[in-house]
Amino acid sequence: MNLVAHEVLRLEDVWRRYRRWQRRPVSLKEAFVQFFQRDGWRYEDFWALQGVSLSVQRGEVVGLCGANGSGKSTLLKVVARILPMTHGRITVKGKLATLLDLGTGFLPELTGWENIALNGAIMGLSDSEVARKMESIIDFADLGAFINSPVRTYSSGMYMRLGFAIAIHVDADILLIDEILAVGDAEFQKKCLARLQQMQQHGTTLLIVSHALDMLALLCTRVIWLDRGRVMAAGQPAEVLQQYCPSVVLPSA
Amino acid sequence: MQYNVVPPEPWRAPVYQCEGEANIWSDWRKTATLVKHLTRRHLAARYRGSALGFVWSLLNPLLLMGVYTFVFSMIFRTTVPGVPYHVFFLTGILAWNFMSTAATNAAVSLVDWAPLLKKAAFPRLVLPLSAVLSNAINYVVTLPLLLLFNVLFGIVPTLSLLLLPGVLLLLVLMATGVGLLLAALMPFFRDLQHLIEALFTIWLFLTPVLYPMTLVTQNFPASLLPLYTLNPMVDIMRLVHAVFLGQPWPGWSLAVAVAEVLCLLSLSLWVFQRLALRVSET
Repeated sequence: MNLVAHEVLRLEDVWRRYRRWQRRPVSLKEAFVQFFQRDGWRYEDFWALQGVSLSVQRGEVVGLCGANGSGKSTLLKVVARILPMTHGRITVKGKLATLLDLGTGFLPELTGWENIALNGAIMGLSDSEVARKMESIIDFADLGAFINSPVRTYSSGMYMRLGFAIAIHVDADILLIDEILAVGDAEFQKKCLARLQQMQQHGTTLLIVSHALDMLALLCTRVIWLDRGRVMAAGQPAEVLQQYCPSVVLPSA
Repeated sequence: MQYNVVPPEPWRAPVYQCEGEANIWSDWRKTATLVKHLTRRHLAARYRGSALGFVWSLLNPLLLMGVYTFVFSMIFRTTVPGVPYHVFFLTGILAWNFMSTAATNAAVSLVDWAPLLKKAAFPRLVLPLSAVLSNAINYVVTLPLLLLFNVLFGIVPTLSLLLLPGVLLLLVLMATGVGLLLAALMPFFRDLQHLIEALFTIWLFLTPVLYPMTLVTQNFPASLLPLYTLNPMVDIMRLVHAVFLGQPWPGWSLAVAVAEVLCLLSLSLWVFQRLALRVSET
């Protein structure tokens, strides 16, 4: 089923299961031993996503809120194709860039410069594109001389700055952001928010997971509340955030 | 605390569909760029911090050659018709080392690059493939030196060297076939690594690298010989010796070996594609 006009992402009835076996062998030796034991073959299913359906239009900023363990990060990873889903259908139109966890795909031994090149290639940029954008990326990340040191020497704020700088230069149509905007000083947060708003005006779609409800209220055109893998509510930010957390005090827009 | 539900029957098999622009999943050029980057990383990782890095990869086979020549040629009195033993050994061991190191590196690629896998999305296949490719580049670079060595001891290169790309391709396919299968299983069974070393050593002794095929046909009972030649590396190694040293060409058994390699490759690809995506869960 193809996407209708203006639709960039559609999830249809997406389920994801973690199956925990009673005794899971982590080595061949254990597997061999357990094969001959009768009672090791029971399992427990944990459904991280249960029947999530979602349709995102171009230019929307969708916020995901919910308690820890409600499936928000799992949802982003399934959309990014980092985790497989157990059932359902996802259709993506356009280029996808992700900002999941600090150090998104950074190899600790490589320098910042080398990691930019590597991540550019992973996100689908050609070598010439990376070369063209390199200066702008380094400028935005504002790491100074640290760009030439191995990233294992970076602080968490620096990881985030580098990751963010790369992700926004990929010219992605859809950007997935997972709870990392909280890290980073006030000045960089302002820079990020300004850049995100600029991207949104240019038609980039954003999917943001965050616990900073005031930021979600400010930035998002739509908010979805996930609880234990199910969509509890979706709609106007103010309403949904009020449902999710009745005691929250939201900034007036 | 859980809702007690399951998806409606019958299950819809999960479908992930990309529309519109070329991305890393659909555009082979972007995948190729990624393979190139990762190959460069593999090569850099091997030689980082060593000034004579490239020379070390020759030093090991040369040292081995010295000691094996002493043992096999002077103590066991193994002779190879037409060529000195050390030439025969070096040619064989370089090809063998390429195959086994490529397969081993491919096998650990998913485990070693786990930080990348858990956080970035790209076709998993590029990791073992770039490992094999980096080893292939390593091997090709050592070939001129091997040819020089052979010439020094009286083995003149002949037209049979034109078949070199074919030999290279066969070795790459063999390494990929074995490497992919092990790569798929390694994240789930970590102790496989120890088993791999032993298995490759056993496999080495069952292939005519340390001894010529002529000795096998002489001393092996004729009824068991087909069992020995089931090993696809037997014919591939005979092809290597034929191309470099002018040894007798393998016959129809080479076709059987090629068929075995292709079957293994298809099986490994299938297993890998099924298991690779679940690596992020381990």
